[in-house]
Amino acid sequence: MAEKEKEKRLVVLFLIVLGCVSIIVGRLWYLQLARGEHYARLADGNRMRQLRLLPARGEIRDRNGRVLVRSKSAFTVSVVPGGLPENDESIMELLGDILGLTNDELSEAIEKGQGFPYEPVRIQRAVPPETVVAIEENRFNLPGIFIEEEPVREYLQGSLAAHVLGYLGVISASELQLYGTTYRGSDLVGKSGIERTYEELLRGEIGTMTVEVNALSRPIRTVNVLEPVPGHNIVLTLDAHLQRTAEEAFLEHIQTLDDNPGTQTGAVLAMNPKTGEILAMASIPSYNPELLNNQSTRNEYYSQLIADARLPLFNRATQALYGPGSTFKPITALAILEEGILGPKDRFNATGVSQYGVKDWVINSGLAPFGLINLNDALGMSSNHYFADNGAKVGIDRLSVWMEALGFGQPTGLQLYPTEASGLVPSREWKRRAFSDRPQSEQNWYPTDTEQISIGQGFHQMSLIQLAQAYAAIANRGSIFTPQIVKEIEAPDGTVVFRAEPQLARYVEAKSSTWDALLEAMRAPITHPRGTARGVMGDFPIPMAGKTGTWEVVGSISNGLFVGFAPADDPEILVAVIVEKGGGGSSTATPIARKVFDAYFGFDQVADEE
Amino acid sequence: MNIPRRYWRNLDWLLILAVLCLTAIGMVVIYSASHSQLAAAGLNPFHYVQRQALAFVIGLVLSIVIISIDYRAWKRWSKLIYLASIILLVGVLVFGKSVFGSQRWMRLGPLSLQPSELAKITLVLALARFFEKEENALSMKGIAQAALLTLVPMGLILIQPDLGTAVIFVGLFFTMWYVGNARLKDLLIAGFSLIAVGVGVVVASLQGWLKVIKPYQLTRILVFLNPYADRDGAGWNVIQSIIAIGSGGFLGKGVLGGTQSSLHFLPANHTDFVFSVIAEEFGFLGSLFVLALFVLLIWRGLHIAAIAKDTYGTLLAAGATSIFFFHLIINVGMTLGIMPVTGLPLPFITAGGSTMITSLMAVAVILNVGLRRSKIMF
Repeated sequence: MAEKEKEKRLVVLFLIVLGCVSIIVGRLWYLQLARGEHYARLADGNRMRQLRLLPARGEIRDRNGRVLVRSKSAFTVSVVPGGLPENDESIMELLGDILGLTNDELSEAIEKGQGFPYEPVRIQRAVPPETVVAIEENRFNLPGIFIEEEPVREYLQGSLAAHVLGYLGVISASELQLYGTTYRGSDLVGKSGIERTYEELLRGEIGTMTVEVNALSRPIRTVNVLEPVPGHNIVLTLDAHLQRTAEEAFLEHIQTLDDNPGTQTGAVLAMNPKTGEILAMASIPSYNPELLNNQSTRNEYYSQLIADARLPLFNRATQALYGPGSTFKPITALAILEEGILGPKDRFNATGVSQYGVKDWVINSGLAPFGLINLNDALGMSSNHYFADNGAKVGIDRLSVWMEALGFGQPTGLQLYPTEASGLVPSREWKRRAFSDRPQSEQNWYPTDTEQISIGQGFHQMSLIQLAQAYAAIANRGSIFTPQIVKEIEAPDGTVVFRAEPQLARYVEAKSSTWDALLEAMRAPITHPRGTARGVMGDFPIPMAGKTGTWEVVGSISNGLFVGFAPADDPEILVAVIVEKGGGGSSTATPIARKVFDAYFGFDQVADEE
Repeated sequence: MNIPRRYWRNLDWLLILAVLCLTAIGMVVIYSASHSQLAAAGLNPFHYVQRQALAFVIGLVLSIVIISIDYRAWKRWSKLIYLASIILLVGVLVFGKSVFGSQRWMRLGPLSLQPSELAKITLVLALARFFEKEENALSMKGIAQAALLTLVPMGLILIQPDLGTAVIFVGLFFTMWYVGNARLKDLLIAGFSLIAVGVGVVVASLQGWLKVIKPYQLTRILVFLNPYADRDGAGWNVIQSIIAIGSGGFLGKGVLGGTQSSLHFLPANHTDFVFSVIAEEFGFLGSLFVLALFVLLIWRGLHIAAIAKDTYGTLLAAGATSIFFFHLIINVGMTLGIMPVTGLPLPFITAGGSTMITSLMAVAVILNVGLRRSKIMF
């Protein structure tokens, strides 16, 4: 081989080498210089994890400082989907074994919470210490699996005041949008009650911990910590003892009813009419918020509640609409007095049957008619004839004005989710619209409609809290205060950032003599020899005003009601009770209200066990 | 040993310097890449560094032995050495131990020996002996015989399977044929037909018509074409390597500062993907320096080939030098995502006894040729 050719070929080889090395240098230049920052970010994304430090959710207490709901620390097992090797069934199998979940349940949980690939998705909350140990022991076989400390909710009083407190659930897509960026797909948020209404205050501020992790997702080093700020504590206006009394009294009393059809539904509301503070709000049947919060019981329990025809999640004190029955008569009385139809001492001949056929109960029972009666007698014995005839004289146009003035047909302004029902104030206009698809004759307003309204059996629909507010107006001689359920809001450091002050919602203008007469007349159901509430309330040591009512449901058992307040001359507490399909108000609702009054004034003799 | 004094003056010190620098860098990077994992496992963090140093010493002793024997004396033994290496390759298939699914290692006392590493050098010896006669590089029969010489060890290595080393054999064959004065036309025809066959086999395997290529090799080829196709599986290594290299930037993250490496996102960081650690910790500048050292090594090797006393020496030096070149391109190319993933080491830097020893032996072959050249350059 010629020396020249040999050298030439070796030079060619060297040039090839240089060419290849140039390609490598070019690639290095591209990766390290042109795209260096991009890859630096990727490398940081690899090793840095932003762990969210969840704050302890605020406590909910009753007005006396008794803790109703609190947070306790617990461990949550999470998965970082981006840290899971794909197609590796063994991790899921092992994790499933430890947590007692099937593969399907696991993948469903992961899919549900998936948003960001390096964001931990919660698989199981409040796991026992053994699970934590088992996962840590298998750390090397479980890349992408995390244990996080996350507080869980504890409802110390079980189902007590469930409709007020509410419950937590996994955040929905719309809630995720509503609350903004600090929430993640598997977070729990308040779904109802105070938990929902005050979600953002109760929750506190999320902290973050930036940690460096290795390829097995095991934290190596903490880079930065931003401590979470616990949520605000909420002090309710509720009195836990009164609340418990209300719930238990309802459930106990309902068992004693002969005519109990088994529906066992209703509500009890107790409030301070002078401030609007709600002291007890019970809706029967209730539910256990803890079972809804708990991941392992949530789905089953929720479907069970949804399937229950009695609608346990429904707040009957605010969301349900009822006919008032005779509890409406004080309102009719207010109109009769103010419109000058009859004076309080004026006698009316209650023959037992009104002009348009409304009958007194004595007639139905085959007894002698009431005869000449004044307002006290009429309200005390609950005369239909008196109120039907005189209410009709007031007329629907004025009656509906009075109803509106008392707040019917509009929300009371209570800040509590779910939103209260508005109810209905019937009027000529309303009837025309409501029956617009019927013949003209059915759209017209007739005096008999007014008579029915006057005795509380008409078209009107109201929530229990609206009825209570109307009674508060009488108790306060015109003033209605916005109902309040939150007494104080306390920042995590203990400073009170909100303290409820009575807020005048509306003022009903009426003559002082009218209020005097009305307040006196409302004592009659308790004090009158034939008073409808006398049997139950007659021996109550403190002067009480109140009215029983029975809403007659055609073809079914009546709803019983009682609304009253005490002391009658300077009311501190107003109690409203409805027992659905339990029969007349005197025997169903009134005894329940009695127990609440007893408990409020300390006559219940039963030592508070809590 | 009877070596004239002038011979020592002929020793190529630049080449030796390049080798020493690469080895030193290798030790630093091996420590950086392996210490945390070793420490975590309760082992000596210098474990791999110490083994590398031991291999270097053994390689050094072997190199001195090789250098001291005139390369022209090897001709006589070349057939025997070739046969011995074939026997070793067969032996490793029968007695060898399997690591990561391929049988490459054979235990010899305290050392694990990789006969395929040694076979590269014995093939260089055999091909040099064969192409020394120029007619062998020109005649059809000669080329066929040379191809056979290459294919026998290559086939045995493919069975292991070790695709990367087998590819190096192909490279060796073409390099030495070319240096042995092949006709360019023959070379091109052979080259293109080989590429055609290679592509044909891959396509046929992808279509499922052929079952020659193992599934994992096919995956690697697919992953090479698109690493993100199997992001968390086979593509993971390449993606993490590219992230490591790219995140190194211009100056790198500093010794022991590579997060991709020390947090184990980068797999095989002290072996196959050691270059990624260099690029991550020493940046573009450090990578260029390492590449420059390799270019220096190859330049000196080819220079020695050019000034060799005889064609046999030229072929030996060129062949031995090309081993480094192919390793460099395939290994570094793999870490950069421009070559498929193969288990080929980066000479002098990758932790591994066999690689270190055989690399030093190859250097000894080159130096030997340089020592015994005819002209004295100064």
